[in-house]
Amino acid sequence: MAEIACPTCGKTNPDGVAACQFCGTSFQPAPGGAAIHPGEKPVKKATAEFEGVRPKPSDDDLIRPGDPPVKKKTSELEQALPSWLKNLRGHPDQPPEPAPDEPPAPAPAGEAERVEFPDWLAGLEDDKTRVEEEQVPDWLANLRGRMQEEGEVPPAASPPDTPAAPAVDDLPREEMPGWLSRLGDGEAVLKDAVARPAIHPDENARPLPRENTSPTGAGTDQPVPEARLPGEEPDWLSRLQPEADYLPLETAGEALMPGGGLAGTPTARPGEEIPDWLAAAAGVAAAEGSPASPGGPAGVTPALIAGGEESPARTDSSLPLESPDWLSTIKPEQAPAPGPAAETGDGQVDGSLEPAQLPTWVQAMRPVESVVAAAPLGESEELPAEEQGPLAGLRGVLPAAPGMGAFRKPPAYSIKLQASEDQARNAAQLERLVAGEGQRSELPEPSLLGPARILRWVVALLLLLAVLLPVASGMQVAPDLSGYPPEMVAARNVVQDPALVPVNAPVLIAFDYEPALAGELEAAAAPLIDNLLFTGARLALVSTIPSGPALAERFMLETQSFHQYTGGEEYVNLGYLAGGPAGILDFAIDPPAAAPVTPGGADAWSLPPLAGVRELGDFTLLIIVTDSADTGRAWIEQASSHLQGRPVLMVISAQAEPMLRPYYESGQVQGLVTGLAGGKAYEQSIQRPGLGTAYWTAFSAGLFISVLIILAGGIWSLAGEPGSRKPYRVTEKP
Amino acid sequence: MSTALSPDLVTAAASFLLTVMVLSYLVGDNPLFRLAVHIFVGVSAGYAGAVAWYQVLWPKLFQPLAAGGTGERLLSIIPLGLGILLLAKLSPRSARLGNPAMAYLVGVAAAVAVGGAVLGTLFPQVEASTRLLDVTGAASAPEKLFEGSIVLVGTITTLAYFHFGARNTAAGPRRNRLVELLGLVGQVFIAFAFGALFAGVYASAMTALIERVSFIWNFLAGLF
Repeated sequence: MAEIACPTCGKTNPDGVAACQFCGTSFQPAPGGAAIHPGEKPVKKATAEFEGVRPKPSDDDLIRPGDPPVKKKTSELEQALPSWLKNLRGHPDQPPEPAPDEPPAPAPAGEAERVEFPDWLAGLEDDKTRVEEEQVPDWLANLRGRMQEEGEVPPAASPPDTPAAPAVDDLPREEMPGWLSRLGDGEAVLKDAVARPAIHPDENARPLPRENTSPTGAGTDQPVPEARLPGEEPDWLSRLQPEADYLPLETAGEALMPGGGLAGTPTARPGEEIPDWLAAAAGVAAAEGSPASPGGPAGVTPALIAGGEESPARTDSSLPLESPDWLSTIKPEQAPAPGPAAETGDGQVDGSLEPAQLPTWVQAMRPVESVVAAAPLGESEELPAEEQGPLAGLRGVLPAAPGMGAFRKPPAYSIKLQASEDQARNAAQLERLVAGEGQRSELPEPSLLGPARILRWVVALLLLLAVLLPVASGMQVAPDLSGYPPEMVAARNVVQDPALVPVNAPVLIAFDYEPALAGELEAAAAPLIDNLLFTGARLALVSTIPSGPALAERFMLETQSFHQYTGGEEYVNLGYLAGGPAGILDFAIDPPAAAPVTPGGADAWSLPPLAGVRELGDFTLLIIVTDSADTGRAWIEQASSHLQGRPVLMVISAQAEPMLRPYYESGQVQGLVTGLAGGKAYEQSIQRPGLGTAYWTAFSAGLFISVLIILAGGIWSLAGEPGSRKPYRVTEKP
Repeated sequence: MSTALSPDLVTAAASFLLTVMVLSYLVGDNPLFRLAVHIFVGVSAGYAGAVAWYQVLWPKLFQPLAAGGTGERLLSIIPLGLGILLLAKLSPRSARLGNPAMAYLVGVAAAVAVGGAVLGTLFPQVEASTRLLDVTGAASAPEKLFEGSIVLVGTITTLAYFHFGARNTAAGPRRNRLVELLGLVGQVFIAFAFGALFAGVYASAMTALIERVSFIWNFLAGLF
């Protein structure tokens, strides 16, 4: 059965089908729409049908970075090589034998040069003969033999080393098909069968089935059709028969040139209108006396066809016969200068094909194995071959026309992440975590009488009772301190030492604590300041906290009212020092410049408490009252070097003691009063009860209850809920 | 306390109400607690702004510009210009104009802090650590040695705990065994330090609670 080669995918289809079974390309000519005329607007076409043309490479075919090169056997790719290349390899150093009846053709230009074949082609020589036998069907071999005898076909059209095939006439009757043998004249039938595809211009619009040129069906696996009587012939065959009379066999021979160079070549019939472009091309060729197709009438074969190997592609039967004007005017001139030397020994026109002159590095870049191997064997024979450039000799690399040809997807490289199992597991876990973030979890509504809330109320009630009862009753059940902290004793000694703090001496006090801890620090500092005021000290109050000046006034009003100190007379409030440590340093360097006025706007350094004081060393004592370890450290770091050896005492909150006690241990601070306990101890030591004594019982009761609650909670945690203290174990979820 | 309507009574009543509103957090977050917090934040910010104006900007910047001499005015222009550039930070488009003023502030603050830390803390503390075992002038030499030994061991082991240098072995990074042993001892001292901090914070909070409860009781006792 005859087959039809798809011009798009190159695969063969049974004769009679209207469209390609593989890619769906229609074999029927588009009614005037397939041609693209200059000036036409581009039309968007569905190209999805071409997706299935190219076989998808498998993962094994992919070349990944780092893969070692693998030597492949390329001999099996031999069938994909173009015929001209096979011929070149088969006779690298001897010209083709001319036909006996034909004058010797001039040596082609390509033959004059010594062709050197790359290594990748060297291994193909051994299988040359077998390939030639496989690829040359019997009918074609017979036909060639017949044509050579008649001297109508250039001997170069068939490989010189092709074994002589028996002519059609030489075939025994038994080997002929029935219909052929009944016809009697095999040559006439051969003329008819060969000439039919090239007769009608309308027929040229449809793809030329190569098998139509083989009426005997030789070379195909399909069963030989039964012989038909003249009356039983199909209509199309009946229409074609009369036309064989005027078709010369030479033209038919040209149509059967290897490679299908003349397949689909428009041939004018007498009385039929010849397209302008064809007439012009033929005229040019005739005028130049082109011997491109010796033995054939120059006026029949256009120059563009005889000009080179691109004819099969350009005159593909799937293309319409209509050629744009620009093409008809250009092609004859662009055709290479005809001459005897332009034709190679295999019948192909050499043109500019000079693969031997390509640099080696360019040849090395030719994607021979990858491209040829990707193309199915047999398909490449139907695809157009490139003639020049690095891709010379390869078929199907470039499309024959815009939007047509081999539609190849770029090789798909695997984007699969190369990750180990651990990495994949971690990634999955991270993905679950991220996915869990987007899930909204409903928080349980806190119940008013929940266990935690009841426990909180119980604890609060116990603490409030422990604190309120001593305050409300005025009981002093807590025992006095049996001993005094040494840092408190050191502070008291400094205050009570007349050598260090003389009578009516200026003393600088920094009130740097927040209002929230005023109760603690007032209770701690009150006995110290009270003891100091008995010496008649003149006080200068300063603060690095905006609320410090107000707290200083409150302190003097609430705790030292007994001494009847008044602002501006016995003490002066220097206000707020901005800048933190920098402000402290500024004040230590130049106190009058750093704090020139009181919060009321008066000139502070002209007031009696600061009489004779111009620098920090003029103060006999520096007392820092603070609840912050940072503030206390800043005062020590920035001011101690400007005190000129004056003592420094600190009244600090209990929470800042661990941080500031090292300064007392190192001798940078001469005394320390810490929290309510320090104030109570100081009051007890000077026998002047104050806030420390008033709060001491409540403080002791509160701490006692707190210790009990902590112990109870610890015991409950250890023994009451043993199941709730399971050891934490890191487990990985699958 | 007098029951007559006086500023002291109003002040005490406001203090009492605000204290109760804050203590209402015992029953959970509620509008009274949030109102008290907002009042404290607003009053604190307003008071700080007033203090900054009356005690910093006016006496140290604008008063010299308005009534100072030529030298004071010239010197006041510099902080005024830097202050205006600092205001450019309010807008993202002009924020870069405040970079010089910000750089000046950060540079001065860093220099002051580093200098004070080195000269006021680092050197004196290192010097004091060298005298831990000096029994000269000590009332009790054994007690001084014992105390100094505890401080020495605590200092060394705590520093060893924060030494994270390790060798790279087949089983992973591994610290020196001696350093690891010292680090374990250091963990004990660190635990004691955190315990002391918690006790100090708790004692301060307990004192503040006592002061507030005492105020409430005295206020209520004065009313009735």
